[in-house]
Amino acid sequence: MPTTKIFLRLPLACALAGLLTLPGCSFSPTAHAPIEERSMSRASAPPAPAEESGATVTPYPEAGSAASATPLSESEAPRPLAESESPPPSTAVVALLDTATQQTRAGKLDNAAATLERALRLEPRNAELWTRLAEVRLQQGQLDQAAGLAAKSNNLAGNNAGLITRNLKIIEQVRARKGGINKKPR
Amino acid sequence: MLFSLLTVLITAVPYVVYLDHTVRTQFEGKRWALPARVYARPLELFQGANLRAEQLAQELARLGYTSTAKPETPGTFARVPDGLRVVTRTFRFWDSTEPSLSVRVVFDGDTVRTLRHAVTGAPLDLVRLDPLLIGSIYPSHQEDRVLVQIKEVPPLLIKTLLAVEDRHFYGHHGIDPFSILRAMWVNLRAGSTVQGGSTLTQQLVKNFYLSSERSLWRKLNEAIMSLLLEAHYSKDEILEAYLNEVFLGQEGSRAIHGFGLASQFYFNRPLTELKPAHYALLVGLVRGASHYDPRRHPERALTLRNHILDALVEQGVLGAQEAASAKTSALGVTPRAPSGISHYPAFMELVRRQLRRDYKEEDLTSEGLQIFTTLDPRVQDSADLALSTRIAQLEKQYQIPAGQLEGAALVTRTENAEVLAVVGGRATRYSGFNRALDAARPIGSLVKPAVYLTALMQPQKYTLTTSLDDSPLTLKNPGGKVWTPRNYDHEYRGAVALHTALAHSLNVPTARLGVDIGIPNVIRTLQKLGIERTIPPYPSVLLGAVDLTPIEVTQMYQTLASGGFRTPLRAIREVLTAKGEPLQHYALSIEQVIDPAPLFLVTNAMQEVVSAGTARSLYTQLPAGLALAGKTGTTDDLRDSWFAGFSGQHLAVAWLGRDDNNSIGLTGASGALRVWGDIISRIGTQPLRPTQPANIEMVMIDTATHLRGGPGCSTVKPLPFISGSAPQEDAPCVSSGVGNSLLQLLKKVF
Repeated sequence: MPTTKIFLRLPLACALAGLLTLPGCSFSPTAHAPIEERSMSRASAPPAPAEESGATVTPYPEAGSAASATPLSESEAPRPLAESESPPPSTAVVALLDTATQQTRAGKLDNAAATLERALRLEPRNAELWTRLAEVRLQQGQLDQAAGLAAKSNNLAGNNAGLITRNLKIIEQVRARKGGINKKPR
Repeated sequence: MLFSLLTVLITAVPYVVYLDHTVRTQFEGKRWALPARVYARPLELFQGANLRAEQLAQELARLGYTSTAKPETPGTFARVPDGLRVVTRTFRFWDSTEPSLSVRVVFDGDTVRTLRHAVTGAPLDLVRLDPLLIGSIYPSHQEDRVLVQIKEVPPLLIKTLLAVEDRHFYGHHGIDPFSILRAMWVNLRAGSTVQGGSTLTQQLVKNFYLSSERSLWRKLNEAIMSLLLEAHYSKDEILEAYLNEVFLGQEGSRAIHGFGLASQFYFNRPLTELKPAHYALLVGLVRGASHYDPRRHPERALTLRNHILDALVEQGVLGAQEAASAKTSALGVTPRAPSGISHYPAFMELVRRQLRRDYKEEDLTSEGLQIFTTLDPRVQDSADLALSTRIAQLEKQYQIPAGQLEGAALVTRTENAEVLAVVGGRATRYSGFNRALDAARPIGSLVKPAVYLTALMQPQKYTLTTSLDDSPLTLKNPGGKVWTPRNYDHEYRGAVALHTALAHSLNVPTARLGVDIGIPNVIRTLQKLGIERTIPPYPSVLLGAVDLTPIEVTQMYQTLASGGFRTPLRAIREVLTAKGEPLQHYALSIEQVIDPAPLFLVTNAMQEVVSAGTARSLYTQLPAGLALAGKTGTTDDLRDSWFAGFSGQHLAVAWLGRDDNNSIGLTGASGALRVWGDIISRIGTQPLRPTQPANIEMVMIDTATHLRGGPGCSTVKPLPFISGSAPQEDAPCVSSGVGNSLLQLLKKVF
């Protein structure tokens, strides 16, 4: 699995544990990861021959035991919000955004859309790109697409209030242009 | 005397006028039916790209780039300690022409660390390689060619051609009396036809307008038409037509015409990247592409090539030293012709179907359209290999008669629904029954996420911890037939939490849940997810008694994987005319069809399928940090084995079964899941991190009671809830344990 990136979510798991009772939380890199018990110890056995049942449980950490600060298996840990996880866009995406801006200004909206789709192939979870594409579609009068893309951006925007406002504006305009028909973007 | 001359003129003039008309209309009209060319996605290089050095090297090898010590010309590259140096090729894309660039790519493990101009050292934002040609869509007579323009043809090739075929091309007017006399003399002495005196113009006329019969009448027509052609058109126009028309090879029913295609056909490289020895060989093939076929008769071809190289020296086209070194070089022909039949027949079939919606068959086979697809050759190769290898292994392991187990797989990108790979069966190089597109089989438990999603859309009634009844159940199908669903292990658990029932694919609670929420509602969810078939509202549908093809399942799971947004699967990005003008852009289209909150919940439960449920064997093969979500599917008597699952980057669906629909003895977990794991571990992927909607809260749940957990409880698990739907009550274990919890401590202190 060479190209796999694994993101540890220790801080988050810890934050969650903290919500409950544990004020201190250690992020020692050696902090031992998931403690899992399985009612059926076939986890690492060869492929389960049948779709059998079993339950997964996680022992609750004993207070004060720092080692068990991360009682959650990674895969079960809740997900962080988008804003905290989105890295700055790559130079490639910045360059494509510039191109899209120029194309939009020049009225070449189809080209701008194609450029933004190209950028989305590089960074599909970049909420800003989805908003930009929604704005282009709105300009082109493709109302349903604009609304769908804005909703998609919202879905990825996390706490990015500025972006969410832009998306909501797009959705509002779509509604207004559709003649105030009470049609929720979906 | 005068009268007879007049008679000749009266009859001849209209005839010549007729020939002139023929010559002009055909030469000026559309000369050739050009097959549509189908390309894979271009590889994009940029800083931070997810790519390893050897993967880039493989891509370059696929594209026919030559590995050399010092890459200086387009289409060459070198491995350097921390990466690669590549001189890319110019290529005209939909939006712009990508110029040839000398690029230095430095890698840091599985990412591109830097991308710079190899000469100036200036950083480069984004570089697109030329895309791999993956196939063509041929007209019925299967004449194939890649058009070249005279200005892009290397001068040495033209010099070589003229030196061998028509030395006086630029001097004659279509026929060359001197050559004819010489040929006659040679033939007379030999007693048979060993040399032709035809000019290139005559050869072109013969191929273009005339039959291959050998008669004086035809010869006369040929001569007149050659003179007419020369009178109307420039030498370069005639030469360009010749370069594209000449027959240079045959592969099955596909005829290789023109030097542009011949270069790809024999050397897997464009003409501009060839060497003098290659030109000599190609020109030699004009004399007899089958007799001198370099793949079947390499010695003959080599002898001819070297004769031609000698002749070039005699005529001063090539220096003696250069020719000598060219003569020592190998033929340089690729062992196998890049097949006209695509390496990726299953994917090509999908492309063809999508194209037929928008284009006439005739346009596809004659207009020379350029089709840019979404195929990722690396992913496709990995999927092909994963499926065929695993099938062979499973046949052995489970004593399935050899050759009986079949399968199919699709891989897409989760966010934009681009299809990266289609595997239509274990014999991946052969077209035939395309199971990925055409094998409609019962989907079994793959349907369950739709049942649970429908329930979770009513947060006031259902949450992940809702207790479901797992006790004997009997249902009536519309015909009055009684149906008693059973769990796979034939056990009943009494009560089971909703998320556990999905993770362990329990049939009885699922069927009961589906009946409670209403079968039509479940079917509506399936339709929202993208299923277009009509599904009858029978209870058995709840356990997957619905026949779908792997691609339909992919469409359904695509919507789950992209957070509830439906995007039609796409195999084509753009279509360009032969001249490179944009014709059609297949835009990304998106519609939100499912509320993100219940979708987030069902995704969480599908992650549990992999971390602790029926698919948990996956993490013996892949890192648990990928947080994959998926669902196994098994049908009655173990006839079908399914797995559909997704990461943050890829969605893949795998199916195993037999064409005769007999049992294969494999569950979803023991069969398709293995294939799926093989594919994903070969291609590598990004972890799944669904965005948490604002109205979702995470709550620690005591797994014994499914109430709020806390210190003192022996086992807890964080689970997502739609705001206001989480259990309010603490589990009895909370704070009831030994008084060592911090909470208690705090309570005492304050």
